[in-house]
Amino acid sequence: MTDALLSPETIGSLGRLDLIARLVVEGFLMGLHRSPYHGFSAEFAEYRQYIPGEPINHIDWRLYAKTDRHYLKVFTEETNLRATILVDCSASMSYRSDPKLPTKRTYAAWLAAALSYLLLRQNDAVGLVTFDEAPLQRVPARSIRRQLFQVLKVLDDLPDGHGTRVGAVLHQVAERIPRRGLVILLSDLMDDAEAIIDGLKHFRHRGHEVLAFQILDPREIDLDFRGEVEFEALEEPGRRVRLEPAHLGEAYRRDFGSWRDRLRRDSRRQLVDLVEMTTSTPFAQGLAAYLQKRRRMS
Amino acid sequence: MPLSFANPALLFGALAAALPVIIHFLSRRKVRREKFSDLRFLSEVQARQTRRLTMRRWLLLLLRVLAILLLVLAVAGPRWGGLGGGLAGHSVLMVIDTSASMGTHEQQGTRLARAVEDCRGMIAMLPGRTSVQILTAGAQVTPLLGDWLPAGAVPLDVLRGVSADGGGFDFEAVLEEAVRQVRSAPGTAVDLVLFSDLQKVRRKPDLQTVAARLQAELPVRLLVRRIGHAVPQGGVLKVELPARALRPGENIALRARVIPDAPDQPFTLEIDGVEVGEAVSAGPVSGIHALDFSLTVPGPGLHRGLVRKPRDRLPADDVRYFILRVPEKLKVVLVHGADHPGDGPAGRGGWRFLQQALDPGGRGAPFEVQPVTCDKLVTGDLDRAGVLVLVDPDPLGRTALAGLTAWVRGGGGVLVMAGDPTLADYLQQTLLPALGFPGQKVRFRSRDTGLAMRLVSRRDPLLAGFGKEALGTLEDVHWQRWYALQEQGSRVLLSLSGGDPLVFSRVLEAGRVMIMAGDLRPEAGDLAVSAMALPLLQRMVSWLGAQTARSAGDNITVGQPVVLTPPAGWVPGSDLSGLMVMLPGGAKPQPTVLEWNGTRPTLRGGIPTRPGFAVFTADGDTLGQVAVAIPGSESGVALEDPAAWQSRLGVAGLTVAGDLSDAAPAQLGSLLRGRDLAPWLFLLAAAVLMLELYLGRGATSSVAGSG
Repeated sequence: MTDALLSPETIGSLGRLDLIARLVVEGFLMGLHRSPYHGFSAEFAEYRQYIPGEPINHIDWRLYAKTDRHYLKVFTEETNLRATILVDCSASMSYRSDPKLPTKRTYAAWLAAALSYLLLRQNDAVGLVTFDEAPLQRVPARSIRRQLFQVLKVLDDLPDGHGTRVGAVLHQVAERIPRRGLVILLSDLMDDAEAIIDGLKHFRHRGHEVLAFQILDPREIDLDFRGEVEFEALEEPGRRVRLEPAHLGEAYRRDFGSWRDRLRRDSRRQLVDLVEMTTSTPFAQGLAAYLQKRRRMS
Repeated sequence: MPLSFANPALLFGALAAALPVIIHFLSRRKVRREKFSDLRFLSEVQARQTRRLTMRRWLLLLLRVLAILLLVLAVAGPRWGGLGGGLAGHSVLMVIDTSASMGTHEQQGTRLARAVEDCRGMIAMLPGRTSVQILTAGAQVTPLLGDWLPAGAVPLDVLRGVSADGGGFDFEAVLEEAVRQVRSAPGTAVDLVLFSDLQKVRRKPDLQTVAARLQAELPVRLLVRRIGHAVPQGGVLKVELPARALRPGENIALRARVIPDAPDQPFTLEIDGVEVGEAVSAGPVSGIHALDFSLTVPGPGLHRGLVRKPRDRLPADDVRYFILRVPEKLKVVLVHGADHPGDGPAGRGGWRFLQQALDPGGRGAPFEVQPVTCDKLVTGDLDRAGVLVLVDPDPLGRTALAGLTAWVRGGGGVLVMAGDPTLADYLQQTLLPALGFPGQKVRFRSRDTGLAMRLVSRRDPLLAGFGKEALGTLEDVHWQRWYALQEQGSRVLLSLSGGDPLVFSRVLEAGRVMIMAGDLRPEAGDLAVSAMALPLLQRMVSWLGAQTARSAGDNITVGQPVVLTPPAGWVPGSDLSGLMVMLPGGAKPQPTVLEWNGTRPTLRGGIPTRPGFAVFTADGDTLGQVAVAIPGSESGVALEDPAAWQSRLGVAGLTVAGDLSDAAPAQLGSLLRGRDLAPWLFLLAAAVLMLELYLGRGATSSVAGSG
């Protein structure tokens, strides 16, 4: 049920990005049935008496062995995580095959908003970079409350970009992020796989943890079109290809699948978490991927 | 053409093959435009696979067109190699040979039984809508069905009553009947299927004419199924009666042409139910042998005779019936010119000597001679005469000459003895042309004396029975030549040294004419004093008296109309009440009528279909009888090769579609209709459709699979 509530079709009807971010995150957290804040991004502060009914995750068993009493470890929150969200605004991200579905860019914006909300709620610093062939806008990472407003303002008005040079942009952005932190990339990664991996490698080289969301439209994967279709490139207006997907679909899916396999394989080598999503995928999947990543980082 | 169609009109359905092409090109115009995020993969795929896909697209189109064409072809009823029958618009005329030879027993029954069975099987195998008519062709050609019937509605019981008769197979008569049947045949063409043993028969010359008439009605294709094999079998082909009037009590040799089927086979001769002679064939089996039976001519009257051989595979030709006619006395009207003073006691041209030679007196005299001068001759004399002898005649009146010509044409026999050179112009211009020797020019030569008489052929039937000495005596006779006549295609019996014909004859319709370029005066030659004068003259007159219409109808073959000349003395135009004829094999007498053909009355009965004797009665009295024999061509082993038969028909202008002789009975239908290709085409179409679906589904299923 939570998945249904957090599905892109449902979320899209809300309209306001801050509401979307809040609803997504709170809905997601309700679904987890436990606090995401304990266990990471916090430092030990003191012990307190265990009250029956509380989770036993943080019982200090060593102390129990010494005192024969149950004490919980209490942590103090810290804000040492700096997360930078990279949102691809290239023309290819404006594609959607079904009016009921958001564009990839919109989906990326919603996911970025949700992630920002979640990060800021943890008192982490959140920054934002939008790009197409080059970085377009940049919101430096901060953990102040107004930061969410700044981020959502940019996300709410993402520009229509042009071509895609993800690899080059990653290099540029990697040079501009001074401190080590978490880099979250939201893109369709429609670029040369080697260049993308090079860019991600750059982040890793500078000590960043990288979480990449590859956002695709379902039809980009299955090419489910009927009859003869003349496709026009969003990134290169005027360039057209005419073909019958019914006949060429299999070869397309094979090639496309190979490309994604390579991205997946090379990302894993660079210890980059690559999360493949479509614009119909519930946001919970993206948030869960983030939390998993965050847990590993702690 | 080996490929044919049962329903060729359905081939127009092939136009439907254009539908996939049209749909293909129409659908190509409906191109949807879609914006897409990245064309990188699409471009690569397109560059790599477009050619293959284009080829596959065209292949699919080709397969669809091919499938439609195959289906259309299959529905049109394609057949390969059909000889005829069952094709669209074709009617089938089946002809079953019921001639005598079809009664030959072979391993699987008679030939006719096999033919009937094959015919029955073929009808059953024809498409039900094919129109069929069946003819039986023996003594008569008879349609078995009242009208053309669809093959599925033909009552096959009509074939049960078909039996071999004693007639011969007359293909021209078959074609005549086929012309009548084809006129009412439905459809646009007729396949004539003949079931016959193809016994060799003498062909009539008008085959081409009849064939042209047949083809003028509808295109007719001929198919032949020869039934039977050439197996050794014998028969009595012919009984050769003496070609002259017989004298009671004289000894004659009766010759029979026979085919023995065993060495030293006995043949017996019966006269009036009594075996009177036997002859044994010698020499090779299955060849035609001539057997001579010695016979003492019985008393005057019509005698039933037969020559019989032991029974073999074809019983019908093991007995040959004949009528032996023995006249009481042959009436001879001797017409001579008026005697001149210098003619001497022998009279003009020696007519008195001739009278004595023919009628020497006594009870055994074979001739009754009535001398009459030319000016006293009346047509009534001719009606009572068997032979007319003109000896140096004075010019006859126009009426008498016309009557004489008609009498000869009707079956009379005339002997003209002309030794008087003063008659040359009359002979040349009047008498000889009237007697069937037109353009005869009398050539005068210098008077030659002492010219020996030559026998042109010692085997001439007229000289049959004369020994060597008798023939030598004849060649000792010398003649004085005054003029010469031309032979001009006549049969020459005697000639003079130097080659000029002396005695020659010609058949003029039903009668016979004999010319002798001399007479019996002593100064004309020494025949009168020869010992052979009397036998020779009697033979000549007997020969002329034998072939009259009276005796010509005594012996006929199956299938010929029965014609009987009533006894002399009947008044022309008179009728007989209660006239009946009993045909051979007939259960009971049938009424018949008397017909008068000019001055010669004839009785016409039905057409006999069995050998034996036909008897005419009137009010219980027997008027006469006729012997009916099967045609000699029905005997023997001479079966015709279908290829030669077809070749001859092809020359006559008939389309010969093929030979069904070697086909097994179960294959006749498929041979006629050809091999049915429809199931194969349906299968092929299904295979093509499955291939098309497989190739077309390949793309579709892969899309579905990825979703």
